Amino acid sequence: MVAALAVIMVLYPVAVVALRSISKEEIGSPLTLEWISALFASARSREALVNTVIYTAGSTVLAMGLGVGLAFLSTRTDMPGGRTIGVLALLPMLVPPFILVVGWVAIADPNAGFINILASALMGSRTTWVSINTMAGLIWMTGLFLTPYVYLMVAAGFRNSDSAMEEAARVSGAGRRRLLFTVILPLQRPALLAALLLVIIMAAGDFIIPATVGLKAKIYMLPSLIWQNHASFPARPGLAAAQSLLLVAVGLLCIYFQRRALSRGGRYTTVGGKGSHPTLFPLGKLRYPLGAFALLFALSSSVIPLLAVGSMAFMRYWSPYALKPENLTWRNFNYMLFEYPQVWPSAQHSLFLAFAGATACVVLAIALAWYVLRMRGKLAGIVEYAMVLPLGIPGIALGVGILSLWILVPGGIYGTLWILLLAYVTAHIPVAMQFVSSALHRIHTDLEDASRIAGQAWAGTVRRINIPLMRPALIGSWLLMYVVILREISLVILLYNPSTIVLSVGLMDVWQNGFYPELAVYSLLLLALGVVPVAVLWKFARFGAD
Amino acid sequence: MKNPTRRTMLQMSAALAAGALLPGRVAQAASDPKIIEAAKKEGSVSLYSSASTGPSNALAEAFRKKYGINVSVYRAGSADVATRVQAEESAGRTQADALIIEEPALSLLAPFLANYDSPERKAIDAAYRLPNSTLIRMYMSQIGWNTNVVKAGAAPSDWKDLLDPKWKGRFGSLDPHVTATTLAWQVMVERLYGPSFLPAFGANKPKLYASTNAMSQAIVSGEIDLGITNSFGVIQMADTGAPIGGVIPKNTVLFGGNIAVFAKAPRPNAARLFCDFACSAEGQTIVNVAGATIPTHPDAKAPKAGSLAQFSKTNVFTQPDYKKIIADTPRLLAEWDKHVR
Repeated sequence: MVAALAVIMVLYPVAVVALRSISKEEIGSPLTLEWISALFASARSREALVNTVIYTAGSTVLAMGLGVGLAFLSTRTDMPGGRTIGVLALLPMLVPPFILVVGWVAIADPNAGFINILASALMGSRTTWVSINTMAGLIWMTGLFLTPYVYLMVAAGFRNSDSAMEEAARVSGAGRRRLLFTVILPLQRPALLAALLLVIIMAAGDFIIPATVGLKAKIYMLPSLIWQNHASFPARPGLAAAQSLLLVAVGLLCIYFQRRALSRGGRYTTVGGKGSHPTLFPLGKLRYPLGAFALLFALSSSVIPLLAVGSMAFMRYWSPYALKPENLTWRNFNYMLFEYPQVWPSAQHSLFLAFAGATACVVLAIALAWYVLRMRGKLAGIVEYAMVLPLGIPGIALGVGILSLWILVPGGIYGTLWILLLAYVTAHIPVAMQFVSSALHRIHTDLEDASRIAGQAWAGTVRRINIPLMRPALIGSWLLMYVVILREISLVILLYNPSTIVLSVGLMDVWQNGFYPELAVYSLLLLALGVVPVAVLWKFARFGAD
Repeated sequence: MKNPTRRTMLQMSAALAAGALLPGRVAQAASDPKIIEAAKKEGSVSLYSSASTGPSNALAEAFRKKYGINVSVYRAGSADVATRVQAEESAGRTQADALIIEEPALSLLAPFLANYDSPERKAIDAAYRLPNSTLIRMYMSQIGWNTNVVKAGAAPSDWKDLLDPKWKGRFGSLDPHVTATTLAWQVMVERLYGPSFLPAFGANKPKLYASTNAMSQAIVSGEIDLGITNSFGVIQMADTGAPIGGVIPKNTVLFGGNIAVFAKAPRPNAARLFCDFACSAEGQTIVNVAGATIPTHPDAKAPKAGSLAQFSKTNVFTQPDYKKIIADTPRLLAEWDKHVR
């Protein structure tokens, strides 16, 4: 029942998009294949597809490498400072992506980036050492933005793995490298595959970076075309929808391969009957060099762009040449926090929605993952495929889908906070689902059977066995949902009402019409609201080395 | 108050609303007393606005102070406002009473608007009104530059100066795929300089931006030396003390925000009263001071942005024909894609 409702919840907006892609104009107008065939018709869209493939592959490799590397080093090795590095690796996720873009532009723009200003000062003439306006620059930013997702998902797995197999391998004489590549990493296959799937779809579908730096560099990608077709006059929603369907197809393909890779037996049940604590992996001589390397990457992915953003917040206007005492001011804080209309009501609504939305996502994901993996219900396959669909649909299109359903229900939830909650859950359930199912994959059913035999009902088993064992993954996905909901923009812009205004509406306004210093203040506010639960829950999630 | 900022402008406009600074010669809004009475009974107005928060809220707040009628503001980009209105209208759930929006979204929403000849429109030039809408805040396309980099003597004065090789790769333009205003600019330069302009423009390698706001920030931060931006962007940025200057070329495109009333407004009298207020010298002073835009009412004053009467002595304005532009968009974009890459 829950599974069927959940499938309907995500299928409806996707169906709207699918219908649009074959309708000449509005839905209900004559059908046409013109949009689908336009996908590959123009030179620009073919070029965009090639770019998207390169960009997605590059940022996926970077995010997976960094995320898995940092997670392993900080949870499973004796690397110094593991805990700090773990926290640093998560910071970028607390800040809206476009302000991080502003931060990276401040660092690496060919003319106005600190690095190149320094280079020009040293060389005496205009010199460009690095440029963010390149494919490599785009991949760098996106890879770093996606690293926290990989980290959260994989760290949860590393924390919870059973040391028995590792000990067996060690006893039979496997070296450290062999241990890593034949036992430790393969055992994390569910988490690794889930992370891979998310990162591929999110990289392919992200529009902030293609629409800002990508546009400036004239590197067009699929999401930037979708955005252009939505925002142009006259809009071409049919073409935008057809392009979104391509992303959906990528998502479905990923799920297909993921299911195939995981279908061969319960070999990933790393949490078995015996209690054990994973032993720390000794790094030996590499301890400090690896520690320094990890710190460097963690710093460059979070602290450096955040410093650039933080310094903007105190400036009358933003320019790297203007970092002088006479340009410093508190005015932006005063304006954004106290004069800007409706900040505090928005903050209340946003906090409520973030708490309720994150909780709803996680609870629903547990129910759905149980249905798919344990009950193996009739709809299991459909649920798994359906639960990845919203990832391929851009927020604004998802918003249109949800709007066009609920506006038809008289009374109903249109115009209330509940429609926002529904929208958040619809948009973010795929991520929660990947987290929870990869965690559930690792728990051996013996434990649940034992609990049942001992007389526990289903609810008791889940509460006493599964939830405690999945704790890092559950907390990780909850935190992720919480911060993502706080900063979600394109989904809410069509669905909010003046009485249900949320922080991201102000964020959108300041991004489009305000100045970067004001945007920086708003982002710091979001950072502050996000840091609190992360700090509180960190201890319980145990993502760092103890 | 050496450097009045947007915040002080907001405060000033609030003060104006309270009547404290109101110049004696500005006439008070002259709405029909029966409409005022009925509007007060309706109790509130729902405004959908694509103008930014500063001007939208300043106008709403001044209206509330004057009539004691609350204004709830839904604010989003004009494409999003249009999508929402279309969805609500097709479901028969009109929620909005009044609308502030630019072209070409206004044309899309024309079927849902009421014809309303506000008594306040009499003073406004006929060029700025349609039966169903009135232009109340104007701005124009201009060139802006970083005053630290571009010195007075070397600054461009007209659009064709952008073709100078010294700016190659060092100037910015908006992307016409996402900004209809740039399409209007493209039509104007084609008319002024002929079909050879765009290829030469593209060959000089402009960097593309998605909004005038992003462009102004890029000029100030030093990403680009100069760019095609708009008048209120330059004024507001200069107010923060940033090193930005610019020129309004003799021939330029005029854009504007319109006020309109919905045909099925749930609170029709309050909607009309709000429209009267927005058209009046008092309302236009507030909205244009807060947004650094130019009023169309001859008695409204927004000194920073200047007045249309004054500009008409030095400039030739083109008011774009959006119906034609929309019909021409595929050709215009194809040409742009061919030359600007």
